[in-house]
Amino acid sequence: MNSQLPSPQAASGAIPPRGTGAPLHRRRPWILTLCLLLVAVLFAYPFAWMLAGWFKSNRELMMPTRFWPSTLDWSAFRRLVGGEWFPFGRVWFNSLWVAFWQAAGAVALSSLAGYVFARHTFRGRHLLFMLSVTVIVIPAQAMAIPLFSWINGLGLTNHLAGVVLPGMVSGLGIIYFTQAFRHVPTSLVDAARVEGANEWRVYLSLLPLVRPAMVSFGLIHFILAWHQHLIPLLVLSEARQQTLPLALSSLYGSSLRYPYAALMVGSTFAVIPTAILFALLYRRLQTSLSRLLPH
Amino acid sequence: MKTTTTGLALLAGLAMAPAAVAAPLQLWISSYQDKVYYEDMIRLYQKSEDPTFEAVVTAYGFREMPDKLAVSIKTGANPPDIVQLDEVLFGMYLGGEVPFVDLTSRVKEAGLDKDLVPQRLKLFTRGEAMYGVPQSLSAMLLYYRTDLFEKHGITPADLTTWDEFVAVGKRLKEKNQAMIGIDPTYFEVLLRQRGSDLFGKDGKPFPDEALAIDTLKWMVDLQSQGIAVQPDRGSIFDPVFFNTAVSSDTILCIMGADWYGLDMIQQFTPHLKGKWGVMPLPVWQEPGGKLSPRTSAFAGQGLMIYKDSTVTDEAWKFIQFVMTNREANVQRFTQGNSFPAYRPAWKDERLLQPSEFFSNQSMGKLLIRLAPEIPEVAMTAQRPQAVFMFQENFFSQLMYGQLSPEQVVTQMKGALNKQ
Amino acid sequence: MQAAASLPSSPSLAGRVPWLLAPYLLFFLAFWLLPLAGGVRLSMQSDVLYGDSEYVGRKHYRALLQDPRLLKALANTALFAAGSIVLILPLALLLAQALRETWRGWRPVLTFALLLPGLTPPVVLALLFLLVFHGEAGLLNQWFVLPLGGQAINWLKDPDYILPALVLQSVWRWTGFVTFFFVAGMNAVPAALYEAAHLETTSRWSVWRHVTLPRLRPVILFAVIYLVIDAFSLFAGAYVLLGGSGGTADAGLLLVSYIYHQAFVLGKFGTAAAVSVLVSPLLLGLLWLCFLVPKRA
Repeated sequence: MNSQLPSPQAASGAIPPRGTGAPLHRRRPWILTLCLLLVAVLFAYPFAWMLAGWFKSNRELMMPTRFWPSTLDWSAFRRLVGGEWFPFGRVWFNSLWVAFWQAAGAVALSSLAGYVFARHTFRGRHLLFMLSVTVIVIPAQAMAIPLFSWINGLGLTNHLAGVVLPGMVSGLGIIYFTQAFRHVPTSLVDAARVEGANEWRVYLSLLPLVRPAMVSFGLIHFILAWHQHLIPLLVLSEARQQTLPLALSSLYGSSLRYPYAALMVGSTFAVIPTAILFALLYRRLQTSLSRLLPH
Repeated sequence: MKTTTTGLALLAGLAMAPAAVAAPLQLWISSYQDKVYYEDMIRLYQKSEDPTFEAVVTAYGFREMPDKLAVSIKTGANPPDIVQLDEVLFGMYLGGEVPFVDLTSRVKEAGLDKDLVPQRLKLFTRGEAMYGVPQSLSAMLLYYRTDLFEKHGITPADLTTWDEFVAVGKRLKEKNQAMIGIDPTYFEVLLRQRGSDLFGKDGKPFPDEALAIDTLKWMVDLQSQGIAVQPDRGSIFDPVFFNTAVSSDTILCIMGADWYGLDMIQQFTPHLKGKWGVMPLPVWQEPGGKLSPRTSAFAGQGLMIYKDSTVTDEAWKFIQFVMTNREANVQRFTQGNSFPAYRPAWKDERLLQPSEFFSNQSMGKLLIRLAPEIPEVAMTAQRPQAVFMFQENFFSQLMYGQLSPEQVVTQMKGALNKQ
Repeated sequence: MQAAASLPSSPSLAGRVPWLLAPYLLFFLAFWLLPLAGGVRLSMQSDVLYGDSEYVGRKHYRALLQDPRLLKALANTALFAAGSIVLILPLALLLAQALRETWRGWRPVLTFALLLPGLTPPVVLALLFLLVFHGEAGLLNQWFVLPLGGQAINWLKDPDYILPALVLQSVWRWTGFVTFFFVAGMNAVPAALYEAAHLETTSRWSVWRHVTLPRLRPVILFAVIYLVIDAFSLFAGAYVLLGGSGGTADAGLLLVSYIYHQAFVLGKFGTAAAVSVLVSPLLLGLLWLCFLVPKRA
């Protein structure tokens, strides 16, 4: 295939293609950027509001149109991070741990399964694929009883593993990676197969080609895992085993004597890891997704 | 050979070893504030009665705890020993076999059947069996703005009956001033005050349909006359309500339980300190001149022991302590939680202190005066459903005029009877 | 997804389940299939919360089929999903195009800003949306509806506006993510294709229609699938706005809320499981359709 590698600028569309005399692009950026900025402000509002909420009293927080805090009261931050209500550092780490391993595990398992579904035929493949997809379709609430019963039976109650292991099963991942492996050119698959008869080696050698999918799906699953509520609630008991969203929700929605500002601080810390991950992987994600999609 | 015998000996030794120290008692709580309270109580209990007592208190959210409890009970996995549950949510466990220990004989032994307010004692019961001990009185009061009352020339004495209340309300309406906020919980509160309830003794919904319809009609009229204002989100428990209707002086009073004033009002209107007062509810005048009670009841926490707990006796000893110990009862009030239903504790000065927040009135003294008049709450398996159904769905439809009072009662009855 | 038959398979493995699938199968079996089987079994047991339950066969299923609320929940959820998709996709496309044409340095920051609502924990969003979607005092009314001359809308209580409020919060939360994927998709289109298209027509819209959109089909498909899943099986949406209840006249009752209500308010875990078993074939069918449509086109 002839190399159609686009020049970066052309691919981004910022420079109009040759031979068209399309002046529109040049005149547009600032209008578009303005609209974009407006939309971005709108979308970033929840996060900004959350940051401003660090310093507000309960009463102030509950004023819908008020954005700026009246004073810079750091007490909620100090009390929360200092562990007055629950061991903050430990709980934050729990969340990180759980989300990370869920993402890693889901990526590993889904990519393996995706490869098999995409590149093998065997009896029962369609049925198995359908069953795998069923995972996404059934809400956790409906399966809470049997799932928790089973996790408890395995002795995983109050263990982080009791949240991590079930979370490694992802129907979305199956769809994602099956599609990714289907789009790997057949010629490459055949070539890899010729070189090493072992399917495991073939899989490994194809991995770099789906790295885009791995990175992007890993991030999505990380985010979803971080926000998980029901399974952690059921499985984790002690304060020091809980995940951050869980520990925070026990502050909010109960008595009103606890500063909501603490909730704001805690939640910001919940966003930080995903934000950092995103920042680190941004460029990889951008290019990776492009390669994920069919040409 | 030697290793095997050593191994076997070790195993035998282990088998004969005395049972390891019992696992600490597990206590599940819905609120962080209660967690602080119970941890204090554990320390108090250890100091004064049993130094070997060990317990772990875990707090979850208001809805999280009941969710987790339901799953634990259904699966039998990882259940607590003691749980503190609100009466509104308790009904869910009355559908079949009750997963809590029958405390009737223990309560009698501890004398709590005499010392707890009798109407509250019956709260967590089914038939003759008592499954939980009530922690709070949860008597309904009318909280009013002393400053605004003064401004408009009203005194509590002007509001002895609901008819008088409406009359005053109409007068104020001419000055474009509303009197009271209105909330879905008022339906059952008023119904109870009038001698009926959402459920009858047989567990069937709306034992007195006519009264229920009349009460709903009354509420709608109160709103249409401009005397009552529905909060934006239809709930007086919504924090934003305090920042809007309350802070802008749109209303002068709110009907709420003791914990409402102790917790919510003080938390969300600290700037109105000294401007709130407490008074008994206005009464209904029945035909024939009989007067209704000056209070009602709604919600309130209770302590229960899980039936399959292995440490039932220990758990009960602790509960008994928390219920009967004077300090425990007083601290519940002073920590801003609720007013105790345990009568001997009422002698304590701290419960009778005037409160700066409430214009130097004593909430405790008023509650004690009203306690004998508290109506019972009809507890059934369907109570949670009925409460939420009305709160989430039917109240708005009623207040928006989409459904008539008759339709609301009919539809609710239909939905409840279908289960 | 292309038809399975067109792909070659390793001849030596044809027919047998590859052992490579074993790790996934292990987890899948242990943490999904077995609980699922347990759920199916549960759906045929009586709704006893404590103590022994008994086999009741299809009792719950029959009761569910007669429950108008279930139908309402399904209808609401379908509308919710449709509303989200209809609003998010075009908006995300526009934003993606705008992002590609804006100055390079701004792009990461702007993209990140768009993603933020999706990253913010539901518990914070619940609090915020309470303030935004409140009645007259709420942010939406105070800053948008009233200044534009409209009457204050009681988003959370007025049955006509509850579903729109749900859709709005979904748009707010997910548009950023979808935009992000679209940008990547657009970047993947080789410039040569654009050049060729521009040689044939000067209409921007035409280029879009014939070059960009077809290329984005897999991404669009993925976005649709994700939004359908979010509408039908993720609880966060219903939770942040209504706390899991159905709202006035059940106007905001979503399928997940219905299941939550059966399980955790009524304590009817068997019925709740039955709902899922009953509805999942429907949803699978829906997803299957999502895959079929691009094939036909």
